[in-house]
Amino acid sequence: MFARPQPLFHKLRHHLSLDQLRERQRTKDSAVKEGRTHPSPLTPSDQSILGSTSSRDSITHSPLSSSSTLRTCVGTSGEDNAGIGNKDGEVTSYAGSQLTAHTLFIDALLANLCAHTPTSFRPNDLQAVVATSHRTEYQRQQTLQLVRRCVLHQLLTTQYLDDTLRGTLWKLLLYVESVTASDYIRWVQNGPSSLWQKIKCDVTRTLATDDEFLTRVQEAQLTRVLNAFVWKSDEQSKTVDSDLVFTYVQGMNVLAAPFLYTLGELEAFYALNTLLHRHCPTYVQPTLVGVHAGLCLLDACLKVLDYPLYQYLRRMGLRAELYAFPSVLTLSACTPPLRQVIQLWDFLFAYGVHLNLLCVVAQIISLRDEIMSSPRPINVLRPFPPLDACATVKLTLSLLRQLPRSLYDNVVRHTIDFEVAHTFGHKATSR
Amino acid sequence: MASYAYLFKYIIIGDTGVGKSCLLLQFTDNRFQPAHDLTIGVEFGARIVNVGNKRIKLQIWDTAGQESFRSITRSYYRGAAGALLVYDITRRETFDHLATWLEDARKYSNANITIMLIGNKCDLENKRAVSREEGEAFARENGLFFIETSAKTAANVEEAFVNTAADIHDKIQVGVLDVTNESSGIKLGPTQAGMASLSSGSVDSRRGCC
Repeated sequence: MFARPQPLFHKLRHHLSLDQLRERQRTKDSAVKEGRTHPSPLTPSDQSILGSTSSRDSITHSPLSSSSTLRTCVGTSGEDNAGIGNKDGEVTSYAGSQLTAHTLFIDALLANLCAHTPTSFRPNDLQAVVATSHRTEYQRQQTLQLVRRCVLHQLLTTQYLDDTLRGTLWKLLLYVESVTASDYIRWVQNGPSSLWQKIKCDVTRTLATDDEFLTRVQEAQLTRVLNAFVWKSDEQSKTVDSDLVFTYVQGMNVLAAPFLYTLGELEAFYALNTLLHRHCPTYVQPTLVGVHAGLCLLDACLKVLDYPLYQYLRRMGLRAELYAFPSVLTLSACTPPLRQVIQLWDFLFAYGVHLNLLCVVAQIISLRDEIMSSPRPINVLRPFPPLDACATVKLTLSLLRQLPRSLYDNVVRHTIDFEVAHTFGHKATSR
Repeated sequence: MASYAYLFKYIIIGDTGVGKSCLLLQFTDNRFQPAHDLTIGVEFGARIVNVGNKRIKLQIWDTAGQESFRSITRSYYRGAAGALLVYDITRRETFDHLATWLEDARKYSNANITIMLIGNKCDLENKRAVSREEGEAFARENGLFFIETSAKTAANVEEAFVNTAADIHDKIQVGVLDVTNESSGIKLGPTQAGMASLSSGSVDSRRGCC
């Protein structure tokens, strides 16, 4: 338990392959007994600060943490819930007076955050955090929790995080373990991969109307990063025995874009790689099974959160698959402006990329009046109107509390757990 | 709501990057946009055209071309009256893949679907990799209509969509297509729905995405 003190970054060496992940799930109970814990994109206490679900005491937030661990942890993090008001089913839809409940909730959440976090996040603070020695897993998790709260606080108070800080922050939150220039250079020097032509063709169609992106990121950079990803995956498939297939699929070009906008090319490559392998492997399989699952779950969430709206869209023949495919696959990066996308990603990386589903639901619900009064709602939904990260996150936090436990559990798992992805993904494609 | 006699559902298919979305944009908005994002999943367009003396609304499903999206594309064939199968005359492989696309179209769409084979980017004559004759021969062998278009210059774009509609309309006239069967990809427009004494209100507005 007592490791040598190390800076936070060096402690983040818990990358698990998917097979390991599955193995961990099987042996989770024994892990609890031995007191081992694993990094989770969404820790129990973070979860409770969001006041997210109807039942506080037995939710599995991540396959990496066992439910019994969570029971213990959630039980001891009562302070985070102070003032949030965590009543079940308080809000059933966003019509009329329900909006008041939403506003009150966000006010309470902000007050709570202010009480527990520094008011702003200065460069020195983060550098200090990164350099801090952590003797135990508990200390490390505490620090990460502080970082997550800072991110949330900044977002909710619409303070734009400094871009130079953001790169470090993303690597920290994503658990980017190592950045090896020699490996990357080797993959780049391999030259065109089997998918080079396809990649080149897609690169020119990536955020093609976003001038700010086009000014900052060269087509050649994006091509190199994606092409290197193919080489790396080829290499890995020869050495690692796994059923999973990682290669370039359309949509990855959009996922790579915010990284290249925020980080240098080398770091962007590793951050993208970590996102795909560790946080949403089900999304980028050649069948896109996780995306299909996500869309199916998105419909299920909308049904629970705003039944009249759901019903109206169904009557018009509109399933999430028809209007939300790009938003789910690209973690909302397809919706401009890029600066807002980046802020939304701060939130997703801090609390888990699965939350993007709820962020999409929030975007739809915020359009409910326009949708319900339109004879052709697809025209309202395609494309989505410009993204407002702060408003989306606020609504997402409020919506989270209303999801039934089992549904939320599947939302959490669908980006990383292939069993869940296949269950819901196949349901969607066999329709 | 603008009145029309029928609504036809179209699906646009073909390899990635052949110009499917550009054809649609040229047809619906009369413009060519060189800088645009790639299609993820499906996008939609709609326009009313005249066939003979009838107004016909085309509801067009523009699908993503990459293999990963094939499973959902397949579910969109059902209920399509017309399919535009597009290849790029400057990229040989997009022509070579036509057989696979056609196989899917035959397997997942209704038997009476009208398929228009489109050789796009015909403005790039100096980069041509597939001759016009080859395109015609493929269409003839497989019972497809054929046209070469340029989404950039708008050459033949209108014709591609309208000729397909004309064939579907002919099939209705001779009774090959049953307009009351939803899987045919045809619906009666608001002007005819009343005459056919169907359920109250417009047939179209009750279901259909755009």
